[in-house]
Amino acid sequence: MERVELNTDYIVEVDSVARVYKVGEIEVHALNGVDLRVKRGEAIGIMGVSGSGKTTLLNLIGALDRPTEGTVTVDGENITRLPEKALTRYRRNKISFIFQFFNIIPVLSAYENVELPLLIAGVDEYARREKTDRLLEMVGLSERAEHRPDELSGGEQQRVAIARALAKPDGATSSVVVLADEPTGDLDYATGQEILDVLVSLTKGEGGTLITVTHDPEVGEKMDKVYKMRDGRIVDE
Amino acid sequence: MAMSIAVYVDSYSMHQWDAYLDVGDIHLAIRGISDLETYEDDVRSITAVDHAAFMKSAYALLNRDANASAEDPEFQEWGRISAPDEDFLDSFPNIYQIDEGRLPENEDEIAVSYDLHTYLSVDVGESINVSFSYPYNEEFVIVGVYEQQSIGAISPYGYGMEHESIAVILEIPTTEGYYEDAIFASIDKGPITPFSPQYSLSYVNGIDERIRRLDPLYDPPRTGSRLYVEDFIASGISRYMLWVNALRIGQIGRSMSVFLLAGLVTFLAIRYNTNERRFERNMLISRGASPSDLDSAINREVFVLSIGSCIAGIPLGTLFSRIAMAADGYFKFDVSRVFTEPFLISMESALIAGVVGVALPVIMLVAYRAVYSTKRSVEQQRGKLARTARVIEFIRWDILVVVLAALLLIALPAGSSLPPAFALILQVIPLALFLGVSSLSIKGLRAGANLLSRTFSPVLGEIPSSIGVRRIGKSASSAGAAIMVLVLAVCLSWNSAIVDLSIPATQTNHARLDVGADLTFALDSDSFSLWEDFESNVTSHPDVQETDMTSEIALSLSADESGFTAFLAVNPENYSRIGYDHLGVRLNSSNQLDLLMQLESTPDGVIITSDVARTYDVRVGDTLRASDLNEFDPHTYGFRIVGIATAIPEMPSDDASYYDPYGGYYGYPFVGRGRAMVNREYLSTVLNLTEDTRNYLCVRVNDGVNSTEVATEVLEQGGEDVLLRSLWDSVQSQVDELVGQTGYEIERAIDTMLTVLTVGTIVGAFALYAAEGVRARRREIALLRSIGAGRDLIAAAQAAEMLVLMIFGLGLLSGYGPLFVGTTVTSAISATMPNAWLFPVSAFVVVPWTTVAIVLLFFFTLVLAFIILISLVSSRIHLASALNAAWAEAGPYGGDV
Repeated sequence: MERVELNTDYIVEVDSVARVYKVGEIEVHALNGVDLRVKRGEAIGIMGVSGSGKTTLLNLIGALDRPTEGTVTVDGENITRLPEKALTRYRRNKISFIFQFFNIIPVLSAYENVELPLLIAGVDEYARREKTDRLLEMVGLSERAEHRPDELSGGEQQRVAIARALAKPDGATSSVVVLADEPTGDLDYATGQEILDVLVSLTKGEGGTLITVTHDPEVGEKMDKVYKMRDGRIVDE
Repeated sequence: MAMSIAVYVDSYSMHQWDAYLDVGDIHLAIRGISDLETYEDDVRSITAVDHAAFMKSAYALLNRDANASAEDPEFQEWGRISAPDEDFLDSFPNIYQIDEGRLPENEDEIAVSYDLHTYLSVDVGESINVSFSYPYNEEFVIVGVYEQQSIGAISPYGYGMEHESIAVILEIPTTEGYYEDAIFASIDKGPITPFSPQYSLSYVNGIDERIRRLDPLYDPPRTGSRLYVEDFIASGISRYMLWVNALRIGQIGRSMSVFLLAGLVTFLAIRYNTNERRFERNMLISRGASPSDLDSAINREVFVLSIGSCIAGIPLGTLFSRIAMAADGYFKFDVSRVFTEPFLISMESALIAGVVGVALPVIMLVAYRAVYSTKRSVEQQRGKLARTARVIEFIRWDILVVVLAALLLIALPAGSSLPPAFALILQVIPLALFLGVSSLSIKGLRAGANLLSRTFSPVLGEIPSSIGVRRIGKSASSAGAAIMVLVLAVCLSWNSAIVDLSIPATQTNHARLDVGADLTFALDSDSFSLWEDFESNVTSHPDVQETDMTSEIALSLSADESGFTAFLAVNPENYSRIGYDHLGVRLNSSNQLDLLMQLESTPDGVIITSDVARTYDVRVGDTLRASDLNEFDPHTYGFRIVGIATAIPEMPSDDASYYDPYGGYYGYPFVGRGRAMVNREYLSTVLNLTEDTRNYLCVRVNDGVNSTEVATEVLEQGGEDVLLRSLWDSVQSQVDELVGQTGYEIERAIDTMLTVLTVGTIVGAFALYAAEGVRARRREIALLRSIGAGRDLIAAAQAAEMLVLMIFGLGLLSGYGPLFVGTTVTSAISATMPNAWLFPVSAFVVVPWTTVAIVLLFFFTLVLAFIILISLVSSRIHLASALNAAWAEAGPYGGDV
């Protein structure tokens, strides 16, 4: 169905999206006509068993992959057929990722990891320093800013990842979509809860939108909405 | 690589095989029993014996004292006289080839050898006496002149002359004398093959044994056979085997640096393999597999892979060996030789290559396990030994090795005066130094990555610098090793290129001091009347620029014979345009010109070498007294010392010894030392130059002219009559003698092949470096792209990494390169120079700067192209799959081993 009018309340609009992978001769239907709307500033959870299509949906929203069918519109911009350069710009300004295994760059210190998106975005040095210091302070890592990832605990590394996810140029944070894939999956229960609180409060506090993929029902409880996926479809809200 | 060297040596050795086995038509000589003739048929009946024939011969004195004349002076020549019968001549028809006349048919006829005919003017139709038993002479009429095919390979203990006959007669008289009967035989050479010299040797030894068993009294080991078999083919095969084995070992030894490179790459490959499969290993261990079983599986895998590589090495080795076969100098090719030169892979070569090919990876696997299991044990265990080891870890073995190696390099004087043991150490030091520097550079990269990142940040940009440059630090173990492979490869190629030029240059400069000119003739005082004609003949040669007559006399500077010193008398101004100093510089362009001019203006002056000045404690301005120590009429001459030089040119000599009254004759090893130079005009006023001195004609030829050819042309015009014992020498002949040696050609060809093979080791090392980092690199790239980095930024980070690697490599090269090349080049020159003479400058290092630059450019371009290719391939990634894979693999505790 073609939409002629954009609803600006929704920062993410996924319409009839399908993604088919070819594994040899076999076609794997990872997503089968998914429709999803996420409001600006909202925190939503996507739950489902392994292979239900949660990560694929996250990849499509984050422009790491393109859908086989359907459209993905983020902050009013249809990203489905954007050229590579525009996608780079899109990822730089509107998307942040948080991974289960943190994926912070091992050769950089905590400070440098957080500063990196701002450097890439071309933020001037003063603003960059001010923002980085503030984010590290918010995640409680001001004292460990010069430490390398291998000198930080799992929880601390995920805090760095959260701070990095929110490191966007001033004024752009409200249109940022933070995509978190099992953000507490590699942490113990207490740390996981703590990290989740930080993630939700900071994202909302900074005006961003959070989409979290998780197996954990308790994560779902902290979200505004939780969607359930099965066999490449959203089956329940 | 081992296969390439082995196949090349085998193929090249075919020439030597042919030479050693070119023994002529006669393959065996059997002697040692009184009734030898009766065994002729028995020998013939042995399977594999083609022909066998008996021949009598005797040692006798040929002389012409009875009928000597002015044209045909008397002579006496002792030698073998043979009497081949019809049976012998039918069996071996090519042994005596008639040049003139015929072989004797009557008892009073004799045929003489071509040499006798030529050198003693013995002609057909003349009579000659033969004395089989002194003082009895028998007169023979010469009916023919023949040339004899040499019998037997040249023996290592003689010159193959023992079977040569100076004359042939019909029948040897049975009076008293020195007789020697022999059965000569030829065998079927079909089964003799260079493919398996060992089998060939057993085949011919088997024939020899069957001949020995013809003696009924032969009962080994108690009683030996009375039939003594001299097997020329067996001797040839044995010599070939010794030669080829020495060559193989020598060349593999020379290639140790390249083997070290290959070992290093293998080490990296094993390390990479281990890291890649750590997950698989942990999974298997968690499911109950024992670590020792897994280690055994890896051992088997490495072993099977090694065997596979050996099999693959046969065609590759063959291919690369053809490159060496085509080379007739370092990177000088004659492509036709690829097809015309022989080809051989012997059993021994295949075996050696197999052993090396399997041993190298296995040794590296053991070394890897030893290093890391020890490291793990030390880190994990809490026992006394582990604690002690942790303390010992404070000792930095790499610093120790580098310091010791550097000290040894400074302390050990390079050059031929070094004792053999130290020369060996000198060859090993660069490799030890290489290992030490490798280790330090790896650590340096690790520790200095942040510093490098900050340093390059203003130039390369903040992100490329911090991501790209620090990536080198993270994977420093393989980046450092890959760079060291590159550095060593460049050094080895430089070494080969420099050695290729330096050896001929060193030989040229040494020969200039040794010959005293481009070309020097020793003149016979008995032919004094011909000197002037000879000199004008030489001077009129179109390629001759100038000549100067010099004289040499030994005068003693002390009261006894220990003070004998060679005095070279020259016409200083003339000779300055002809002779050379110890640096190979023409005297009129060297520092010695002033001294020669002083000698010109001071007729009774003398220039002495610094060792003479030191020995006799004399200095410029002193008077040097020298005596001929003549027993009956001693003369003492006084010279004013006008200068002291490092060395004074020598003249050609066939008498390389001097008399030491306490120890007899010793070789005098120092060239150009212990000498004095005086004014020839002055010397002619105090003694008779023709009678009392040895005289030389020193020649300067035009630039680029082959002085040996000039000498040959002059001597062909009758110049030989003027020479003292045919003595002459030229710079060109000394250089040609060295560079024409089989060993020299082989070394240059193998250097060419190894340089080509080095490219393979570099590609291997950098492939491992790239492959080792590719997963982490892809993850990083995907991560950077996911947070908004564009492709240009990614490319800039890759470029920064490459640039810093290059700069680091160049820095290492500038520090380590000269040290390595300086040592190896000096060792190579010293090892190659042909004799034990000691020159004031042992090695002249000539650096072909263009080649050096090309080699540097080539290797760095190669690496650059390779890394760019890898970067392009690794940057073309699918973000989702790279990051998804990363999510699964990027555990926080997953650092490489």
